[in-house]
This record gives sequence, structure tokens and C-alpha cells, in this order.
Amino acid sequence: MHPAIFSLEDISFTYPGGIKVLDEVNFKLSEGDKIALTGHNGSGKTTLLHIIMGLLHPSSGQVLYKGSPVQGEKGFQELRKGVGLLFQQADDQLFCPTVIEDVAFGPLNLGHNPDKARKIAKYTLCLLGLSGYEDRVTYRLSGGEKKLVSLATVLAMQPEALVLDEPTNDLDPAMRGRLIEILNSLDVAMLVVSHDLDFLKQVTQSEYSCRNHSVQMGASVFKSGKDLSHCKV
Amino acid sequence: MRATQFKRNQEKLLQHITEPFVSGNSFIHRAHPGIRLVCAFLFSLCGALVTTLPSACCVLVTGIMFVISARLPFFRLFKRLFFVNFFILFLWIFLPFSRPGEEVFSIGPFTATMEGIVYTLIITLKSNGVILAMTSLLSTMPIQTMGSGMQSLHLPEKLCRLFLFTWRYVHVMGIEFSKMKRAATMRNFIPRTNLHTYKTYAWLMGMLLVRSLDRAQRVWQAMLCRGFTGTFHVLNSFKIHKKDWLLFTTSITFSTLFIILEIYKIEVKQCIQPFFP
Repeated sequence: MHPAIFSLEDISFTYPGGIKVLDEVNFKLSEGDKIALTGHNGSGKTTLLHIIMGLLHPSSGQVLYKGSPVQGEKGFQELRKGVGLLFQQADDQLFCPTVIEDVAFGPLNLGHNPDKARKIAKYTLCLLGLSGYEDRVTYRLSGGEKKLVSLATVLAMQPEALVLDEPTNDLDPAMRGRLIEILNSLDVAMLVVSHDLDFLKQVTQSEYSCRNHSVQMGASVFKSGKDLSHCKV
Repeated sequence: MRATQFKRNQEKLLQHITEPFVSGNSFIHRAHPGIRLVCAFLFSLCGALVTTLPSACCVLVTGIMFVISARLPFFRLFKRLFFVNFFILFLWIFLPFSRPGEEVFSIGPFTATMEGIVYTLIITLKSNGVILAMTSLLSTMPIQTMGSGMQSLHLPEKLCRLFLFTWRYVHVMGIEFSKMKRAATMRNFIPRTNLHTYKTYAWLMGMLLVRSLDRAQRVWQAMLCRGFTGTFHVLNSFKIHKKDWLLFTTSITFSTLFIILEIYKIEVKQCIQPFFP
């Protein structure tokens, strides 16, 4: 049994206006886990991810990072060093003028000096087959390239766990294949939110689904049991 | 198919905000962005304030020298100058008739004076000179480099970041706006001069504002997730080379020349008097 990287304990979340999305949810991601998270639109998947990262604060319950409860913004800053979130829209994630500056943004924040940060950034880009993209202007990249560069910006922080929010949205088959290849080559724990069942089949080992305000193991909401029969529960 | 069409539209939209003089390999292109900003600021300030014909000529000549040393593509440069001079053309319609002085010719009740013509000429010469110099010094660097240049001059961090973020997201907002506009066109929306059109445009603008706000929120979250704690660390650092000092000295020299010409009020008459006693 591997130790948990992060876990959620009895998390409830209600949006202002009284819409309850999560009700006493328990969940954990351990080292080596590759977990898929499925669920209807509006079932609270993205909310759950944002609670993990400390971008939203639950009405009750707590987030644990490496076994100890995360306290306040300082605690989440610590958690974010170990857990990387890939946003749904790459344009939100790439805000620096050039690719290299964007990828080096995380390492610089971790306290590396500019030379080291540049080295890490170049290495990460190389790993993802993006060498030569360093000085490209971020807004001129294609959708697929933006996605890969966003992944590079997260990986450059050398996280222990990756949280991916609908990574295959708007990707063409070739780019999707490339992403699958990259994700399978990574040695980090992963939590993947997606509606793309075939993609989940290829990169994850077990499945959870968000429904009725809670997160349950197995049993896809898509009722396409045969696709997921191989999934270990 | 739809993707290529989208891409084409996107490019069409971005054409308005492209940087046509960035590619090039002159010594100005390679110069330190901070130094270029300082030079451009000094030159345009001194150039815009001159009030005599000889100094205005000097501004134009210096501008042309900058263009030659930056080796700018002439056709694109003329296109840019055409737009500027189109506005100046209107000045030529009104200004020569607006100053008292020696009569040159008159149309009906309006009299054009020598002083008026010289005055308009000064404006024409110096504005063209300043545009040429600014194009050579500033348009030759990508906006993101200009942002780094501003940072290297230790201008307020907030100002630099605001500038860079604006440049980054003005494209995204442009694309978002054209997407919504296309969605309206697809449902047979034809802009006319009526309340429905104004209302639709108001909604589009309002929607754009709301979406931008949402996006700003998400960008902020993305920054937090990557360990942002309030300070921006700069990756690029520029070194000042000998040639940068040459550029700096040249700009200072010319700016001083304009000031001297101004202070001693050297006029055309004074210049040509020795030749025609």
C-alpha cells in the first residue's frame, strides 16, 4: 500500500445560492495511482479539483497533503509544489509572452535562479518533444501545441502528482495520441477528469465517478460497462 | 476544414496587430531594448517640441538616418507614413490660413500667409521625422521584448506586467469577440442603424467583459497553481554592449542639437541671409 499524496476527508461544497455539489466526499490519490474521474456536466468534477488545489474552499471537511491537514494559503502553496493542475483551457495557463518564460515561471517561483530555471525548462520541453519551441510566442501556437506546452509548464515543477482537467478537449487524433504516449511515459500519480472514455482506458487504471454529490468508485455514469470492464476497481 | 477557416479568420484578425518591422538583423534590431526605449523617448520628446524650420529639417534627416541604419523595408514604411500624412493633409487645408503675416495667396475671404505655410511645414517635417525614428527604434522589437526592456529600466513592475498581460490577452479577447460575432452572423444578424443592432452590440461587449473577468480569474488561479506568491521573477536579462552606447550617444547628440537650435532660435532667414546680403 503506497502512502497517499493527497486526500480529501468529508469534503462538502455548496456554491453561493445554495447549490450543493459535493456532500461529504472522501477521496485519495496515492503514489503510482492512475485514476479516472468521470461524471455528468455540472456534477462537481472541476469543483473537486479546485478544492484539492486550494482555489476553492470547502464548506466543511479538510484536504490532507502527505498525511497532514493543509492549513490556509501557506499550506496550499506547499501542496501546489507537489501537485500540478493542468487547466481545461490552455490559454488560461499560458500567460507569459514566450514559451520558455512560461515553462520557467514555475521553477523560478520554486526559488531556482534564472539559469537553473532555464535549464529545467529546456529539459522539460525536450522531454515532451518540444525542443525549438523556446522562443515561440505563446498566443501564436496551435491548440494542440498550447496543450503540450501547458503540460510542460506543470511538469517543469517536477510534481509528484498530476491533476488533469479534460486534457483531450479540442485535440486532433494525432495530438491526442501524442498526449497519451507522453502521459504513459510519466512516472507520477495522476487524476484525470475526462469524458473521453477511450482516452481514460489508455492512461488510467481505475475509475471514480462524481454523482449524487459524492465520488464513488467504479460504475461509469455512461452505462457503457463493456468499455470499462478491464478497469481495476 | 472548419479549423482552417477558423485559423484563417484568426490570422486576419491578428493582422491588425502584427509587427511588420520586427524581422531584420541591423544593429538597431540587436540593440539593448532598454536603451532603445530611452533613445526613443528622448528623441521624440525633443523632436516634438521643436518650433523652427532648421531644427524640424534636422529631425527629419535624423529620422531618415535611423531608418537607414535599421534597414527597414521601404514599401511597408511608406505605407505607414501614408497613414500619418493623410492626417497631416488636413492640417495643410486649414493651418496656412490660420496665422497672421505676409500674404502669399488668397482664396475668397481666406488668406494664406508665409508664416502659416512655414508653421505647417514644421509640423509635417518633425512628425515624419519622429515617426521614422520611433519606427526604427521601437517597431523593430517584438512587444514582449519591449516589456522586458521596460523591466530592465526598472520601470514600475505593475506597469510592465500590465503591458505584457494586455498584449498577451488582447488577442484572446479579439478571437473571443469575433467568435461571438460570427455566432450572431450565423443567425442572420445584419448590423443596421436600429435599436436591435445597438442592443446586440451592447450584449456582445457586455459578454466580452464578463468572459474577460472570468478568464482573469482563471489565469490568476493558474498562476497560484504554479507557485506564484506575489513576486514576478525575470528570466531574461540583457547585457549592454559597446554598440548600444554608440546608439545612445548618437540619440543624445541629436536631441541636444535640436535643443541648441531651439534656444538660439536660428531661423531660415538667418541661415540664408549671409548668402543674400
